[in-house]
Amino acid sequence: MDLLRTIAIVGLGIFCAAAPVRAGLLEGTVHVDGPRPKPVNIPITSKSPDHPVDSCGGPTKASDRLLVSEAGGVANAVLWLEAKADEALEPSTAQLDQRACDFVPHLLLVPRGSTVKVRNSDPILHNLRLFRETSMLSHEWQEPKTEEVTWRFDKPGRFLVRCGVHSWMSAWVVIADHRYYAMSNPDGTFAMPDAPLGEYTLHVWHEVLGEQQRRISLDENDAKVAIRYTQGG
Amino acid sequence: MISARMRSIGVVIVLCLSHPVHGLSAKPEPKPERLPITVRIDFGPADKPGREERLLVDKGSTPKDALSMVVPIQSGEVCCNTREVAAIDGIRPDPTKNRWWNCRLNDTTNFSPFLKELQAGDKVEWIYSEQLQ
Repeated sequence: MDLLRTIAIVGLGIFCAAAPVRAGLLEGTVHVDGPRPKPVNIPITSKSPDHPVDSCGGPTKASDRLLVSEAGGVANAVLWLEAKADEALEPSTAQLDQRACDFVPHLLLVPRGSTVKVRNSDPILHNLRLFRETSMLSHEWQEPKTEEVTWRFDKPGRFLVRCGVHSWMSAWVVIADHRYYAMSNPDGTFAMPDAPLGEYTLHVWHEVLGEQQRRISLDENDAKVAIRYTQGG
Repeated sequence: MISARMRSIGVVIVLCLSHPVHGLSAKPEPKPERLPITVRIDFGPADKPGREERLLVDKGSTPKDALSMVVPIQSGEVCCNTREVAAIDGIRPDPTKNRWWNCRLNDTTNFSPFLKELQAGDKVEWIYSEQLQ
C-alpha cells in the first residue's frame, strides 16, 4: 500500500513538472499617427582639431532616435508586461559598436546580470559615458581598435550611452528583470511568445515618443495589441 | 602666601603684555589685487532669464569662482572631477535631452573652468545648450 502511494505521489510530481505552463502569444504593432516624422538632420562638426570627424560621414547625419517606417511603424520601442522579477534569468553577452560615429545597434535589450562589450571600430577617439537618469556611472576614453570596454548590468532599468566627443552619438541599454519583454522591429511589429495567460498591464517605452501603458488580457486565442502614439508622445 | 599670589598675577600680566593681540600691532595686510571681469549666464532651453554682470574678482580667481559670485552653484562630478560645476542656479545637465553647461572664456573653450586664472577684462560665459541628437 505504501509502495503504491509512493509511486502515485512520484508519478503526480513528474506529471506536474512536465505539464506545459499555459502560455500564449502576445503580438502587435507600435505606430505613430499622423504624417511620417522627418528624421532630424544633425550637422557633423568637430569640437576641436584634436577630434577630427572625417570618418563620421557627413556633412549631416540623420538621427536614429525615431525611426518610422513608411506605414508608420515605430522601431526600437520596448514593451514589457508588469510581472515579478525572475530570479532564474539567464544572463547574456551583447555587443555595442562605435561605427562611423554611431552606436550600433541603437538599442540593446538584455536580461539582468548581462554583460555589454563596447568596441570602437572607428579610426578616431571616442569618449564612452554611461548614464542612469542624470548620474554618470562610467566614463572612459577609447582609442581606435583598442580593447573592448565591458559593462555588467546587475540592476534592471534603462541606461543611456553617450560619446563625450561626438554629441549626437547615443544608444540605450535596457535591462529586463523577467522574460516578458520585447522590442519593436523596423516595421513596428513585436512579438512576445510564451507569455503567461491572464490579465496584465502592458508598458511601452520609446525614447522620443515616451511611455504609455494599458491593460491587456491574454487567453488561449492569443492577443493582438495596437499601440498608437501621436507625435510628441 | 599673599605675596606668592601677587607674584603669580604679576607674571601673568607681564606675559599678556609681551604677547600683542593679533591684528592690533601687526601691519595691515595689503588688499588683494582685484580684476574687472564680465560674467554672462545663458540658461538657454532651461527657460530662465539670463544674467550679465560686471564685477571685481580677486587675483587668482577662476571662471567657476566668478560664476559663484553671481548665482548659487553646486560642485560635483559631471565628467571627470568633483570640482566641476554640477548645477547653476538649480539647473543641471540633462543627458537624456542632451543638455549641458559649457563655459567660454573670451570665446575659447580649451581651458579648465576651475583651474584657469582670470585676467583683467576677461569675459566669462556659461551657456546651457541642447545639442542635436
